[in-house]
Amino acid sequence: MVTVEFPDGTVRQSEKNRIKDILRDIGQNEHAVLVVIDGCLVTPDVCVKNGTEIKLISVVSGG
Amino acid sequence: MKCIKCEENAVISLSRHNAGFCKEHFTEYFHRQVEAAIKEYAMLKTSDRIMVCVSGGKDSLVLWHILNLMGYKTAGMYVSLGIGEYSLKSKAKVVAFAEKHGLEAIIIDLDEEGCPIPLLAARTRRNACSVCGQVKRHYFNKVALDGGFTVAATGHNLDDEAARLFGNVLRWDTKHLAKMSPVLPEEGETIKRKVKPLIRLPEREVAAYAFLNGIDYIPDECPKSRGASSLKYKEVLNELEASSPGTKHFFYGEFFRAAADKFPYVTNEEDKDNLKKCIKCGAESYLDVCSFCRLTEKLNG
Ligand code: SF4
Ligand SMILES: [Zn+2]
Ligand SMILES: [Zn+2]
Repeated sequence: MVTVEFPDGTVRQSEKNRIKDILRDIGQNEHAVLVVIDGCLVTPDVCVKNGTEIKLISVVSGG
Repeated sequence: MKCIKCEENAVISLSRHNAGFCKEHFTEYFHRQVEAAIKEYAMLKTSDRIMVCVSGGKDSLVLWHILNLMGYKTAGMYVSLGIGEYSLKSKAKVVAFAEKHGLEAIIIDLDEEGCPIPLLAARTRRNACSVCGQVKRHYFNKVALDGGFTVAATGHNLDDEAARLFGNVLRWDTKHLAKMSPVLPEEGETIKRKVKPLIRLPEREVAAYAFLNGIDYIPDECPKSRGASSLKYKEVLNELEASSPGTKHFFYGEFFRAAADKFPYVTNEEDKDNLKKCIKCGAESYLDVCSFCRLTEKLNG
C-alpha cells in the first residue's frame, strides 16, 4: 500500500506500485501534478515499495 | 528513467520528447526554451528596463528569476488586491523573493489605495475578475510610465495561452484571437510593449523549475478563480496531452503558422490624436475622465 498526500492535505491509499499507475488509480492526470518522494521529484516510470509516502504538487494555476 | 544527457536519474520526464532530464540538464533546457522564445519573437533588448508583473505565484516568480539570471534590468511590479488571506500571503512571497535576490519590488496595495477588489466589485455589482483586470491594467500602465520601463513581461505559460486560445476558438472571439501574440506592441505613451517569455513551457515544467531551484511561491490560487472556464479548458487539454503528447505545443504553435494572419491585430494608433489626459489621474484616455477613475468614483458616490 502506498500513501498519497494531495496538495490540499487530504490523503489516499493506492495498491499500485508504479507512479504512473498510482496516478491513474487515484484519478490524477500526470500533466497536472508533480510527484515528490522524500523531498525529490520523481518521474512516472518509477516503482515504489510498499509503505512509501508520496506527495503531489499541483501545477495548474487558475484565473 | 535516466537523463538523456548524462545518465543520472531523471527528475522530470517530457513525454512529448520521450526524454527525461536530471536537475542540471532540465535547468539548462528550461533556460534555452526561454531564450528561444525571446529570440523568435524579438521580445527583449538588453537595453530594456523590464517591469515583471508578479503575483507571488510560480510563473511570474520563475520568470523574474530567469530574466535576472540572464542579466536583464528588471523590477517586479505587484498589485495587492485586498482579497483577504490570499493577498497577504502572496505579497509576502513577492517581498521575500525580492529581498533574497536583492531586486526592486514595486508594490501597490489596493487596501491602502482605498479600492480593494471585493469592495469595488460589490459597489459596481460587477464580477470581481472583470473589475480586477481593469484595475490591474491601470496600475501596470501607470507604474510602467512613472518608472520609465520600456516593456512589461508576464509569466503566462503554454497551458495558460493554449487554454486562452481554446476558449477564444470555442467562442470564435475574433477580437481576442487578434491579441494572441506573445508580443504586443506599445500604443501611445502609456501602453508599453507586452511580452510573455514562458510561452514555450507547460506549467508542469514551470512548477518543476520552481521546485528544483528553491523558488518559494504561493501554491494557492486566488479564491475568485474557482470555477473559471480556463481551468476546465486546461483539464481538457491535459486529457488530450496524455493520449497524444505534444498536442498543446502543436495547437498553440500552429495557430501562428496557420491562422493568426486571419485575425490581424488592430491598434488604436489612428485614433491617437483624440487621446487626452484624464483630468483626475493623468492617464491617457479618450474621455476627460479615464475608465479607472470612473470606476473608483463609484466608491464615493
Ligand atoms: S482570479 Fe483573482 S487575481 Fe485573477 S482576475 Fe479574478 S480576482 Fe483577479
Ligand atoms: Zn543530466
Ligand atoms: Zn484617471
